[in-house]
Amino acid sequence: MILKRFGLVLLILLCVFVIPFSQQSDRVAGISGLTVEDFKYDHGASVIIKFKLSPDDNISLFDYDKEKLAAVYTEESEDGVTVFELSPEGKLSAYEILQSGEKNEVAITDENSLLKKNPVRYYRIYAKIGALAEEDIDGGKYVNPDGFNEIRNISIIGLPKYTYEQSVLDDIALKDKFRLPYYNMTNKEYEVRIKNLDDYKELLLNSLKEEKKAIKAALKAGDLGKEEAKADLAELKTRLKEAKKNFTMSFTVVVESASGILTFGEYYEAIHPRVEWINLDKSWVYLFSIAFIIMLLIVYKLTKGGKEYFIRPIAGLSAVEEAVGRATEMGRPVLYISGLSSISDIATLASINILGQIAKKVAIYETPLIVPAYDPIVFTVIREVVREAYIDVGKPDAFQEENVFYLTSAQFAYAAGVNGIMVREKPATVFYMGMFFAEALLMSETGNQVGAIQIAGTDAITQVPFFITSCDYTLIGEELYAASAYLSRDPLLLSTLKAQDYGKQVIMLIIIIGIILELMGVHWFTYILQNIPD
Amino acid sequence: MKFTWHKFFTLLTNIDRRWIYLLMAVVVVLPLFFSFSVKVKPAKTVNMLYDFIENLEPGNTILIGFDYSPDSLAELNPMGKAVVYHAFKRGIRVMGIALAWPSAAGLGLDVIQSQAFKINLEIMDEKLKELDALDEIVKYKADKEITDEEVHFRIVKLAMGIFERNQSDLDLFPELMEILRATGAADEFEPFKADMILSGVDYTYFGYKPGYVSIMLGMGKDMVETLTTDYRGSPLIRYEMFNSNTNKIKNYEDVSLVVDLAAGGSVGAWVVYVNTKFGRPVAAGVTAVMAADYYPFIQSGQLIGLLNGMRGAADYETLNMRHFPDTARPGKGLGGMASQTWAHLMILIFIILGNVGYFVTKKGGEA
Amino acid sequence: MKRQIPLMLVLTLGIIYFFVPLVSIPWVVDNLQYEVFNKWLKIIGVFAVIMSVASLWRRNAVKIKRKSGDYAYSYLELIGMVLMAALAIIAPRWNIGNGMVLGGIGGNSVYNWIFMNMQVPMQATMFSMLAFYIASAAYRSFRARNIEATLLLITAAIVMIGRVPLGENIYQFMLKLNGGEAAAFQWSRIFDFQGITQFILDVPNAATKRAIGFGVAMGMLATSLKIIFGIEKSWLGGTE
Repeated sequence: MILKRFGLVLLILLCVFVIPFSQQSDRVAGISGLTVEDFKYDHGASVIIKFKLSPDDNISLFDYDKEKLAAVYTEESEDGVTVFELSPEGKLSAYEILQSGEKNEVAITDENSLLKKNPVRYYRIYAKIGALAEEDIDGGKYVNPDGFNEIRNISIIGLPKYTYEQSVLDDIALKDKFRLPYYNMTNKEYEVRIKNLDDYKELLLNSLKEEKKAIKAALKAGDLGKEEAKADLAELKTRLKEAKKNFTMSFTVVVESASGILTFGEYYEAIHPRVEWINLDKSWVYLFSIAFIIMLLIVYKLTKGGKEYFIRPIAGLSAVEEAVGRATEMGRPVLYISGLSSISDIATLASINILGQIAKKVAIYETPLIVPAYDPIVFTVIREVVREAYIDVGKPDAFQEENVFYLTSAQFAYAAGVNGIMVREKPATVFYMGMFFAEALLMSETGNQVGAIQIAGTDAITQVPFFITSCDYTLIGEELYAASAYLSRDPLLLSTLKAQDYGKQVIMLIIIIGIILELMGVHWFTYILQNIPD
Repeated sequence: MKFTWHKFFTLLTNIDRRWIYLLMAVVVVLPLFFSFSVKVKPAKTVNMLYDFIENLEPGNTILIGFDYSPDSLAELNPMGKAVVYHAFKRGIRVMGIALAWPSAAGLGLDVIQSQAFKINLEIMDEKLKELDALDEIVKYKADKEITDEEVHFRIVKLAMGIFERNQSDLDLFPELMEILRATGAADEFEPFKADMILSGVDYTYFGYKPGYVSIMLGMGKDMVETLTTDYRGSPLIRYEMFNSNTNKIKNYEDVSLVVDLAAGGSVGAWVVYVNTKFGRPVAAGVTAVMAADYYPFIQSGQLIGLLNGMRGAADYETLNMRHFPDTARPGKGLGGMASQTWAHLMILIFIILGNVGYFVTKKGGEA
Repeated sequence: MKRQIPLMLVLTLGIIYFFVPLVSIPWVVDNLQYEVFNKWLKIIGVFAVIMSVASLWRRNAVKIKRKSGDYAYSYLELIGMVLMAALAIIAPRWNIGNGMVLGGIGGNSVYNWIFMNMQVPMQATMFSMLAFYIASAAYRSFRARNIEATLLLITAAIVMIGRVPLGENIYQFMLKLNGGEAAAFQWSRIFDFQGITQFILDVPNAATKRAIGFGVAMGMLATSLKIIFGIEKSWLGGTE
């Protein structure tokens, strides 16, 4: 027993001591954690390179080979200033500086100021076909840039909130030379997408084919023996096969500071771009969706089994009956606007569902129902819905086909048309259900002026205030989606509203827990939530 | 009728809407006749978009969605013009497409072409002044009774027609074309070709393409295959932008930024289908009525910039003027700022009047 | 049967599409997304447009036939429809002087001229009317009836000033009175209308939108599921 505990304590102590030390220090300060991921959405034709850049870590040659460099290239000038030499262009890499012997003036007052005033400004990404060879890596420290090509097919993905450092903006000359300015992001992790990897593969395969041609030419010319050529070709064949199956590339990130010092980041050995068939990044979304579906189906089954739920009354929907009745009494038509969005918008579908319910109520009283449509496809659907509703209540003759019509797909021309209908036909009741934009107030103010009872429902949050000021009842956001179930009074449909409420309660619970934990200084919960891929 | 204070305050709570309409018209229209110089401080979200475009490389491409109809032109056209001007000035290529409304087809074309003209006029400025002195041109001007500016416009149009190989443009002003050919002036345009903004090389306008989401998704696969032609009906594959060996545009991979100018719900679609699915940065220019909807998208990083109504256009124009002080001029966005200021003030005054009336009559009623 | 087939289609496609974002098998993406979805939608869209135009024609024709009310407008509408279509589709591309072309939809066509000089101003007029309606609606509804309404009123006033250059001018003036940026106590900050406006848009506005957004998202999900599983059938018209 004691031994067991002792072992545990030892293990913990070991971890505590070993973990910090076992972390390999970054090869160059400023760049860390370079990884390459297969990109899953693009049939493997591109990859994402991830790495971290930190502007506060000072990228400086001194950082990693201070002594070696200092010995060769720095000298005290007369006034005690350390002079650090660079290439004539002032942008040679650490590797190049070590290789070449050219001297040049870049005065740095002292080491510390260099460290402080030399944050990362730009970065570039270089790539090389194939894995890194021994000779590419100089003493395990520097990557020889000669074998690398600058990647031209870069596209940055997902640039969240950023602000430029003013000095970057000012420094136009530098900016033009280099590819990717450093964004001062709160999240210092970068994701750069390298696209069209097929091109590189093509390049490699072509070069191998060229080699094959050269061997054959040499054989023909007699420069190469038959046996030798055969061996070469066989080797080439395996290489070609290997390249087709297992295409590899190496990447390295280069960063540059304001004063033009380049350093190389960690290199990454060999990636194999390939197609990922299942995009697991989205699994969270699926998990939540499926959980919600299950909850919805459970509530649905329970209702079918006879369980009753309380659904809070919605004033706007309780008034529908009265509004339709009023139109009948006054002998005036009912006008229904199904929103200005296409059929793929769920708000439109919700609106069509509501129209189905309202059309039935209107059909019973044989009150005219005018439905001007905005979208051609929506028009064809709503015409059928209204016709079916009339048939459903046994009044197919009351359906007037010319009252359900396509008006126009121009936003304000539509508003003008609807306003014209309101002024001429003087509807007693107007419904606005679905998605609305800037034209909402134009229509509802006119409806207000002609004295109609107006009931609006939209999930366009910016238009809600306008509807509230000019309509009698307004359904806000989700109430629009609840309306159809509510109007049908079908307990099975109503049960789904309860499932939505439960869903919202879960979200609220998560938010409250998150806030409490965050206030208590516990960040892991927020971290997990923020890092759920979208 | 005897005047009483109570009646007066009751009236304040109940001003007829027609008076408000009339006053509104006056305060909006009057400032347009006087050139008030108004300075604006660009908003954060406008700066974000400007910086993004400023930091693209020459030769990169932005795609502009013209998803508004003529009605909201007053707000959105100035934005489009300012953004396109900036892009052209930086050597960034522009593609335009209208997906939401067929009636936007003409607007997008006007926005892009007008800026291309503006810059081409800047580029050929000296040459045009030189041509002004030419006898034949002087005679042509006198014959046609047109101004210098109009002639400059026509010459640039012909020059663009020559380089774009657009015969129908060349046929527009046959006499002028004849003069340019005869005097050899047409041959002297050649050095300007590289700098000039030309259709198919520096910009392509696709016009209205029906299909909306399906087009948006299709462009992610292959633009040439999905869109096939530009607004004139010429096959895209003929254009340098789509067939060059070095910098051709295939799909969203080659688009550095999507700017959606919208008066409807199209921004959401661009975000869902282009930002989320294809990982392209999206920015938006929207009418002020719906702008409040889009601030959460900025925070989530799904939009990298937002131009909010006419003020957004004014902000962008201000930034353009800061960066290109010699050539950029205030546009319609800045021009509308005085009107907007007065209109806001008027609404405020009416709200205050209404509330004063409300409080006084309420107290009076209680007393 | 008339109901069974659409419901089955919706169920099958709904379930398939639910999983489409999860897989990136080229064949599935290419065929389903680009071929089936895009092309079908285009084809359906074309037929829908034809039916729509027919319905518009029918409505106006019925009006003219019955000589009901303002049937003169119906003539205008029909003439406009035919004229624009004819100019765009069948008119020959003749040069008619002044740099204009008769047919086509290019930048110098008659179609474009009518569009720019008639449709654009007319529609812009409609949009401009919003300014009048907003002014009168704001005047009618912004009354300090209770605390919530008062808060709304104050917020509206701040945003209205902050959105125009006037707000910045006031702030600059106050800043000067305050003794510039260097002053220790920055009381002028309360006049930084543009800053406060940005804050209102960024924080309370975004928070409200998100809150409603959660409900809307749930509602959308539930509505989609109801349609996919055939619980909701109103969109087919009628009940059973």
